[in-house]
Amino acid sequence: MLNRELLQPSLANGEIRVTKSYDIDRFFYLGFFGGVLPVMILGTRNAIWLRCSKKMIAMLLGTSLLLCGLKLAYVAWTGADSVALLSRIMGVALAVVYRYAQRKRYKLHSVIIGEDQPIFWWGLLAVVAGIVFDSWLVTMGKGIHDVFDQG
Amino acid sequence: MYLIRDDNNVAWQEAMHLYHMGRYEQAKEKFMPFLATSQEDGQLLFFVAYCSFKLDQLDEAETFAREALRVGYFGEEVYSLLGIICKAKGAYAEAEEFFLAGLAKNPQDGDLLAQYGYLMLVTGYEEKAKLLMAEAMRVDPESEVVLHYHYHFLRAYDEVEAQQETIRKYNEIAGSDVDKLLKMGLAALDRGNYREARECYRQAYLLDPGNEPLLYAIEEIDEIIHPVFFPNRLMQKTGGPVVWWICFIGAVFLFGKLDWEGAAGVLAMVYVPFCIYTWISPFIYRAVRKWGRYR
Repeated sequence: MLNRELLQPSLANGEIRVTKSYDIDRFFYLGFFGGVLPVMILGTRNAIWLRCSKKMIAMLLGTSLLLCGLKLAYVAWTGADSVALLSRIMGVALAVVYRYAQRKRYKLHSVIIGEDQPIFWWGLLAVVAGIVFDSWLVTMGKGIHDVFDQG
Repeated sequence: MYLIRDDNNVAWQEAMHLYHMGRYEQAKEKFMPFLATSQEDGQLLFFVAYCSFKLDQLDEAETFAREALRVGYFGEEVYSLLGIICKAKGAYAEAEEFFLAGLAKNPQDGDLLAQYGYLMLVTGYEEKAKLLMAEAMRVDPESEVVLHYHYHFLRAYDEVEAQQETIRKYNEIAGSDVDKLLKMGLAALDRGNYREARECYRQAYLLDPGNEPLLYAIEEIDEIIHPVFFPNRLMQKTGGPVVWWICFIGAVFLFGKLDWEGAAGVLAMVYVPFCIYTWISPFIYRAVRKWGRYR
């Protein structure tokens, strides 16, 4: 027997949340060129667009912040002048995590909408922000290293 | 030429035959002379609206469908058609109104339940969408329209085995060879078999030569399978850029440990240009198309 509730309108006054998405394969390039930050920013934006659960978004953000923390700890511990390689490895690893976490929602989006948002300009901006962020992280990490070194 | 609609009229029979075969461009051409004499024929207006919709002429389709309602043709199929037209135009709230108006006339209409369910899926009401789809499958599991939407539900949730079963059922009951070929093409695309998909679409286009969206789909597949994109396909088939990058970094580290700097250098000289090529291949493809060298 049909539940009459199903035939009540949902859209007249309710929210319409049509999914949007970047091509999630492109996260790799964000990680490769910009490190953790661009993947975190655009990947999280994508997760919200794809209507991923709040729990999943929190887990993805948590993983991103953990990687940023690890990077800072690495510089603070070693006093390294550059995190270019580490940043790329972490960025690509995070891109793999974001892609894996969003693959089912992205499949749903591809079938029902079938169109991706262009990522180039936002991606470029996020990559520049990622490089600036890494420089800041190195400066801060070295500062911490020097304090403990002198101490 | 003015024609009177009559089931014994050869031109009318021909138009209906083309319509049921899914050859909408030709069917519409055959229907139009009848409209000149039967402008108040709601069912005829609906047929023309449906053909226009299938030919991606949304504004024209909406005009004819609304005209059908205006002249008093209140069949559920008109509400259904207006609903899917509004959905295609992004007027989701209006689409819901039409689907609910149709369901108010007949709450057991499987086609409308499936279409309304799909609208709910698109607009973010996934639980309601699943319940509506289940209800549509319960009341009318043999309907072509219900199976069409059920197939897309299964694709959306990536239920591969159930998709094959639904396609089999769909092909048993679908009246239009064009629609059958489109489903088979879509299934081939999902499997990554672009050549099989292209062949299905090509055959569908031969049956329905006026179908412009089908032509675009064939052109898109032609782009994907073009030789220019062979390196991109190779990379995707072998795990994608991430896997290649990890292998590259791993190999460079390994060669470094083994003091094989020369091998690491050669690898980098092959890998880096290969990657750059995969990034710029869309531009190369456009240039190749522009110059018409590989037509």
